[in-house]
Amino acid sequence: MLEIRWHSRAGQGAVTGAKGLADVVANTGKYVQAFAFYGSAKRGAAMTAYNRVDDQPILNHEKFMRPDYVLVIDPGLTYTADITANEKEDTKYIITTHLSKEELVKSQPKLEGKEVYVVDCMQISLDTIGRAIPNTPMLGALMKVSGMFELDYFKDAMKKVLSKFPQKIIDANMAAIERAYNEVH
Amino acid sequence: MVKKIKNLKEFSLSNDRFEGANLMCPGCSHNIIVREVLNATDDPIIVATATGCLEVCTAVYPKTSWDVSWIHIGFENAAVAAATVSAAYEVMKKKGKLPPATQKMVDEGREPKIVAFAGDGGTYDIGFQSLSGAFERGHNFMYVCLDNEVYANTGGQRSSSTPIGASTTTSPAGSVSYGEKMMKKSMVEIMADHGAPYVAQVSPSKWKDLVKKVQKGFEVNGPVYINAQSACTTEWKHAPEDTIEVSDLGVDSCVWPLYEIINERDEHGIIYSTKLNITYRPKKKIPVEEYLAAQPRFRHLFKPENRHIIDLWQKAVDARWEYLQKREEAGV
Amino acid sequence: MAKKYELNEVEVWDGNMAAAHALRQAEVDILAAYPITPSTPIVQNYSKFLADGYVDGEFIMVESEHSAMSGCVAASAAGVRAATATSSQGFALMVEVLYQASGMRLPIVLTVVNRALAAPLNVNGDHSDMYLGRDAGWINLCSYNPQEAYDLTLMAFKIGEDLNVRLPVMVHQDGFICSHTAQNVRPLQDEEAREFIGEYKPVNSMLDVANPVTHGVQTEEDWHFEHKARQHNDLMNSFGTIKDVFAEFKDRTGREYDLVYTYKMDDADVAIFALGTTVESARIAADQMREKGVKAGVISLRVLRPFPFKEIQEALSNVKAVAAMDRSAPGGTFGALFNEISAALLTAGKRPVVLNYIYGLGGRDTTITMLKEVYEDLDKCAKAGEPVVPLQQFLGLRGPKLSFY
Ligand SMILES: Cc1ncc(C[n+]2csc(CCOP(=O)(O)OP(=O)(O)O)c2C)c(N)n1
Ligand code: SF4
Ligand SMILES: [Mg+2]
Repeated sequence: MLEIRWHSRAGQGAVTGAKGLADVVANTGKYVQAFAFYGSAKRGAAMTAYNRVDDQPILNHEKFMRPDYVLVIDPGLTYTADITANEKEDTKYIITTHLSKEELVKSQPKLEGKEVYVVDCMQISLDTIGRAIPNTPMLGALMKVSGMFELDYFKDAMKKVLSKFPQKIIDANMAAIERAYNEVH
Repeated sequence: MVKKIKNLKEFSLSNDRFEGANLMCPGCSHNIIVREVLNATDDPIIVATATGCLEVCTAVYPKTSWDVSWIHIGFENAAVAAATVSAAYEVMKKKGKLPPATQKMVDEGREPKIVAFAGDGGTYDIGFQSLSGAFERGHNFMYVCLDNEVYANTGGQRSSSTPIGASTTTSPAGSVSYGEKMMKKSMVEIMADHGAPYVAQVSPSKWKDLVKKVQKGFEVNGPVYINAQSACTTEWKHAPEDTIEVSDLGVDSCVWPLYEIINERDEHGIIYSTKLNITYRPKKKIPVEEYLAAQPRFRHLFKPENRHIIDLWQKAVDARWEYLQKREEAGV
Repeated sequence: MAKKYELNEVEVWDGNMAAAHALRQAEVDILAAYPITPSTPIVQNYSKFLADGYVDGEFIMVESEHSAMSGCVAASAAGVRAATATSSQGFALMVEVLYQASGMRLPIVLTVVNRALAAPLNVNGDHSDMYLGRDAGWINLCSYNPQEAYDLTLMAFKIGEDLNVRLPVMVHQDGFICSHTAQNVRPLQDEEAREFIGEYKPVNSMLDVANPVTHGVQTEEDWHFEHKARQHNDLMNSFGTIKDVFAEFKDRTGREYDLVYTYKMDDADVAIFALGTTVESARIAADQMREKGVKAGVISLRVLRPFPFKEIQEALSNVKAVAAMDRSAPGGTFGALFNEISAALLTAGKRPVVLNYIYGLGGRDTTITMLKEVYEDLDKCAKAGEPVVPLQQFLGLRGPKLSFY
């Protein structure tokens, strides 16, 4: 079982991201789960979303998770949220930031010695989609780091998931995925 | 005791009993309205709040944003909550059993002001029965409806305050729908027809007008209804920094007219005079279209097949403005 | 004519989306509802279907849940298919009318997304609302995941509308853990679903003005008792229809449902008896216990009302210890599951150890680790042949341990 935790702010699209990933994965015949924690807070509040992926039907309904991947799509949450909670020895971190990996780890010593990848999903989404919705670029970065799917396969599958939207938006999202795929390191 | 307010700066810095840094969205009008109402007096205040954005964002244990006595029971009963607190106050006052500190304030002429805050859902819809009963019984309290024309807390469903053509999550625009089908309910007149001594419509952007009306409301004896326009950045879908501008567009297009209705009763409770005063007259009445264009909840109305709804809007707003002016002129 | 909704063989839906599609496919004539977290997306999804031309019926967003259920009662008495959805406070506000719906024998379908009851206000999942409506005379079906929420909602119409039954049906799903958790769901195509449920068969329709009928009469001591007895009788006898519908559904989809749900109960010494999503999590815990040599099983009710008394007696006939897991504050006694299971066992002459766990209130996470602790307790009691832990314990509570008896 593969487990993923997203850290985001309400309105940044973590739930949509987790759901989009689930849609893509389900199309490959695997079993998926996507869920999130909700509180009373309105826009801008810190929140977490989750994915589980398995070859077997998923029976586990506990919220507790020891994630294989932690995806941080809001730069500030690296400092204010407990992003290393319940980590495993080999938990991988993909973090939205404009900093280099070294600068990031220095600014957040909790990440010292961890497998950390950086990518500026905020900037990428502003450049490509024109709004700060860093979820799709994060999925591009995840594909690269995890090797879950080939870039082209994933883009095709995401096109289907986004098929309700105008072509312009689909294209912008594709550009965002591709850029994050290439830029994450 | 009526508080004297010199200017906006002094007003905004006056003794805050409501913490604005809470969980509500940046740019939320509810915050502004509540502060304006609370800052309109230095007398003690007791607040009842219905379930809704204001309540869930300001009282999450173990924190509270309220430095006044405050209660939330449910979604449909803020009016009876406030009304009953008021009744309890009257009883204890009569019996001479008020807590000493409260008694002291009362002796100084600072009677507690009892205020209910509820959203349009908690007012126009599910709480209407409770509201109507409390007004009919004549309790001494003020009821403020934070009218953002939608159930914001649960993610933007329509209410009977939602205006025609708005796309909400239960009246969404779609390939065969232009969104909400019904006109907004005229809550101000409905509450005035309960015989309430004072009823008014306000906007947070016209703060002086709002404060004056709240102060008037605090001075009368009996139930007071205040309908407050509350632009909601999340559900009206305008930028958070445009809240005041959108509110002004509402007022200047006469979509949201500012006025008051005063019912005067004789000693038998018979209303001998009803007066409607328009308290703000836009210098230039702007087209409704500008108000609608500023809010993406109406975006689809600008498609050719939905344009007739914009015309309908203008007609409805003009007719209403006409009606209010006629009533004012006739002194009824 | 409503547009056909193109569905994939496998969709990724949360429980709310699953329920909304089932309501759409059931071609409900009147859906009267009021939003409340976490069931709100059901009505939102449904209104979007309507706005896009996928629904022929009417959606009325009323001004309260009391009116939502009242609207359903009126619509159903008028002879049309009616349904709604709610949770928690909304469910509580409906309670008066729930009794009226069942007493008037109207086959309304209510999808309940289970949530805690205030105070303190809490939007997360527990079974307080389910328990509140237990005795309202409705058939209660329980789901553990989005697929089942979908399946059971479709079946609810067919069960309730059966002329031998004619009773309203609730379908429960856990707030958030099911309602907001997207998982793989295999839907029926629209025409298959329509064919399965069948046309609505009006009975005593108010719209049939040529044959006027009186609905909602008063009966005093002369007739009230007979009415209620008849109602109970038909509810008790609805097992047959429920089983038939389950069987027909299996024929069409291969998915099997039974009055009582069991997992590895054939040889189990210890068993967790739970409702909702916890049933599936408990399967993982049971498997892990079996690796440690403890013969663990899981049992649940698919049908909470009518209560499958006999089937429970049978399913528990060989266990040595069973934990009744109640996700609702018991309010001064044992949890309802504990009481009902104990009654079934006692009358069967079986005396396994029965423990009561209060857990997951207000959405408190129920982890595999916690469930294994329950099995550990059960294992100790099974070996001792008597309770060696307190009979009622609070599971996953912070602070000092709370237990009784
Ligand atoms: C009996 C009952 N039904 C439904 C709800 C769910 N609910 C909570 S707040 C809310 C909407 C609030 O809308 P409104 O009164 O307009 O306030 P806003 O959030 O827009 O300020 C709803 C539907 C509830 N708490 N209780
Ligand atoms: S959703 Fe609207 S009313 Fe609610 S807090 Fe946000 S801006 Fe305010
Ligand atoms: Mg509102």
